[in-house]
Amino acid sequence: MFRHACSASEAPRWVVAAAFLTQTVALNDTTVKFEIWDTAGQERYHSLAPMYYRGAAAAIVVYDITSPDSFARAKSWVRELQRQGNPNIVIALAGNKSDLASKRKVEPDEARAYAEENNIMFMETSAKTASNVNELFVQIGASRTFPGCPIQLQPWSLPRWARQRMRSQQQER
Amino acid sequence: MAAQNKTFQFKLVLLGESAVGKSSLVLRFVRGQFFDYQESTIGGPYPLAVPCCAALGPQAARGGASPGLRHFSPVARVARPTGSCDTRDVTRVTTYYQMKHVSPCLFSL
Repeated sequence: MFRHACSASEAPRWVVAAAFLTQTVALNDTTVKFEIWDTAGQERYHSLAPMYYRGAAAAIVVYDITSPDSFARAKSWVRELQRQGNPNIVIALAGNKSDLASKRKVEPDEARAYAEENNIMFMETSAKTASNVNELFVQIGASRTFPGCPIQLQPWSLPRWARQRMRSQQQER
Repeated sequence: MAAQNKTFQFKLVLLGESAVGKSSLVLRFVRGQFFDYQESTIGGPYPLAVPCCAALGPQAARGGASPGLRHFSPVARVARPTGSCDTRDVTRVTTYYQMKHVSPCLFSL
């Protein structure tokens, strides 16, 4: 379906409360280059966040499914992005650590309902098992809602969930 | 089906509380790796390198103003307050690429 066109850039992690990495993904004939700003989560770096989300076409707001506090924090990030971010920003809510199902404190239904209410994407992921990680980024890449970035993808080049998403987006329009 | 071969580039930011796995998600996506004990993203070993590069400006980045680099000795780098830089430069992609060329010089000082 898709392949990694090249591996990580060799940029070292010299950063200011954030790390910068790039990843290029080929989706059939289209190449999507992600410029990823991975911010520091500590509250004391909060004031630097606008510097990183300014001009961002997409944001992944991450919480830990074993921590209700982190879910509450994620909601406040979503609010902040909707209020102060790029008006056309694509927001994806990611419930990470889905491999820790036995310690789960945040139900997927709750998060999904919140995401639907706020018109943002939602996916539970696990960086540890790689579950849904590529899917999360590809879904963001495949979303055609970026301003000035109309990703033209052939529907048959995408996995079924992405086709369904595209179809539902087209119906909304 | 016509060959399109289009390239799209966009900025993506990860936000969320600390220790939820932002860096791990990125590392998994970009390098396919996972570490049980991923260190905290607080600025790495050279926390002020980016503002310093921004302060040097594009001219220095092209390698044309090497004398300016002398001001950025490790001591000066630590002493320089982060707030003194123009943060707009830091987020500009073009400046970033220019900075990338300066950073090895900075680190070798």
